[in-house]
Amino acid sequence: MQREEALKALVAAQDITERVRRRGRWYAGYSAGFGAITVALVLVVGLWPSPAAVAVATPVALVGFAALTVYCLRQPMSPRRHAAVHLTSMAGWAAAYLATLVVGTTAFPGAVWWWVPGALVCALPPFAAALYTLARTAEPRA
Amino acid sequence: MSHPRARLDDTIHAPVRFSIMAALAAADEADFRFLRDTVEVSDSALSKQLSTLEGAGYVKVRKTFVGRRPRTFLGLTPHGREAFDRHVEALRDIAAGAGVTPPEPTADRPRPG
Repeated sequence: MQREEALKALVAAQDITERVRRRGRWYAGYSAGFGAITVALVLVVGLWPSPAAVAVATPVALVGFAALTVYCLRQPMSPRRHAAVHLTSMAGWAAAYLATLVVGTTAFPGAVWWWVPGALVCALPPFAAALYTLARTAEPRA
Repeated sequence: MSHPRARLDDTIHAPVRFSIMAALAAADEADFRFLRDTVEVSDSALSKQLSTLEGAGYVKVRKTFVGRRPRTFLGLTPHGREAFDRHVEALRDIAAGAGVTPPEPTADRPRPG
């Protein structure tokens, strides 16, 4: 193989990997959506602590999460390290969500100073996963 | 020093298989149709090349259903990823001119006698 052939093969490989990598951006949208739904759910449940608010907000959030799951299942590829990123994001989200809800509903119902930062902390793992995915999919590589 | 050409992987070297490996290297896994459209080959050509790569232990196949629709997902095995990285490294060395012995200068060489 000559130098020119090697260069041509490398350029072709780079073109393909970049196209595939860019297609992985769907996960950034998924994670951002997950984070946004989380913020809304935690704020509604925390700041308006009534059975009616919970009864309305929870099913609406569940429909949102279900729509995101369908969106995820319809994607033709998963980006590199997707499983690890997703598991880390979901584990962080679950821990923050449980801590915010259990402590908040017990000790600080309706307290803005608890629920607003709490909602943002809950959304932090999926938002971080979204940013990580955007950074990874934008990264030019040979 | 041996020429980096010797480090090229014969299984990956074929253009379509190289494209398949490059596409899968950028993902955890990709479905058959997406891979076909990315590499721009027919279903049968892709199947044939995938069989070769699967036989070499470079590609793993996962069949599943999404709703009622069957889907085939493909991904590189750790062995396949290593092989692809080695192959690309060899290509980079060739492109950089590594392993090429420069010709000896002849013009100023002292002549015997």
